[in-house]
Amino acid sequence: MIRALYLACAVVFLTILVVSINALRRSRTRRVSDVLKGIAAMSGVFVIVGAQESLGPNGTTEGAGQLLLGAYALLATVVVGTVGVGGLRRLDRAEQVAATQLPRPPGQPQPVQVRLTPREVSVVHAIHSGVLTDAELAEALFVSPATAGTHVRNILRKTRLRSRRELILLEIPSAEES
Amino acid sequence: MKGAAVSLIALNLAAVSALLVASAVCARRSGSDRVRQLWLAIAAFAAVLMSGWVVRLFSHVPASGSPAARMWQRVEPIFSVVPPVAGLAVGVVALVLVPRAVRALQQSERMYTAMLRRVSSLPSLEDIALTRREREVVDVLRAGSLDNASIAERLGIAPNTAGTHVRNIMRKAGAADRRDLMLLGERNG
Repeated sequence: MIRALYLACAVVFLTILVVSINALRRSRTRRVSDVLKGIAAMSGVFVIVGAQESLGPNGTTEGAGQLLLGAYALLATVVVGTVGVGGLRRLDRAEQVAATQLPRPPGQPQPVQVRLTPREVSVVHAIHSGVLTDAELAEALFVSPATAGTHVRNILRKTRLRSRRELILLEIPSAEES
Repeated sequence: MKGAAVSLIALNLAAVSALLVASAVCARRSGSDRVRQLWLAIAAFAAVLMSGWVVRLFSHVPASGSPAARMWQRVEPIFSVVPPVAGLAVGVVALVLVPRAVRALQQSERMYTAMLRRVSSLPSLEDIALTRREREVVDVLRAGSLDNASIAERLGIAPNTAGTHVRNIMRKAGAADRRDLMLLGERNG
């Protein structure tokens, strides 16, 4: 009975481990990555404990496996306590800032499959780096402010987003791929 | 070997207890629901690990003799179910909640880093000659109240006066948008 429970535990946390490593591979945000690392490290402990208790011989309380698990669990706990916790503290501020900068709360699904011209793509890349006003875009892209404004209006219409700050979150292929 | 195993368990117990307390405190202080969810997930992970280490610690107690061993033998069948059951529950909840929270937090962080990059060209707060009142307005802006009405309410002034202060701060800082003022003087780190 207990063995089956531990086995289920191992399977669930193996799924969490895979999901978080997958998210980590695609993540381009440092602090969220730190949190994901912490979650992955901790899930690893649960996977090992679950596997040991469900598949190992009865009375798995001695041997080198115990020591290895203990050492790894300690390491994982310390990693979560430093890296993950440090990342999360800073994310509180990020949430506060995002809530005031966006017309809608963060977490909305992003538009997919938007057809943008190469020029519009370069406008979005500039916006990603924090260049927002027509005047700033004009300077960065060597066009007139009115042209920059037209590009932004067209992008907003195509993506159905409401503000140019929302475009910061728009994910499009990088310049080399498009 | 046995002594080393027991002291390692004790060390682990101390570490997860510290993690549990720290994440519970941070969850209470956090201003964002999603960040709080992640704190609570970490706290729950720590709590499950704690119960697991307690069970393992007691399994090292000599089987007979001491009162602690006798008491443990009585509660052992009940208590040894706690770690796998709690772990399973926490795992399933985390599997549902964490990916959603993480996705939203990634968006927030991208917004935040882009805005920090944006204000990095503005002068630092010490380099701008602000009046005492303007500094108070900056503090309100940094806390996230951006519109004239809420600034006015916080400082007990008229909305138009608040607007004038904001305009003057924007001019002095060279900011193009009042939303930039929320991050005035903030650096990536």
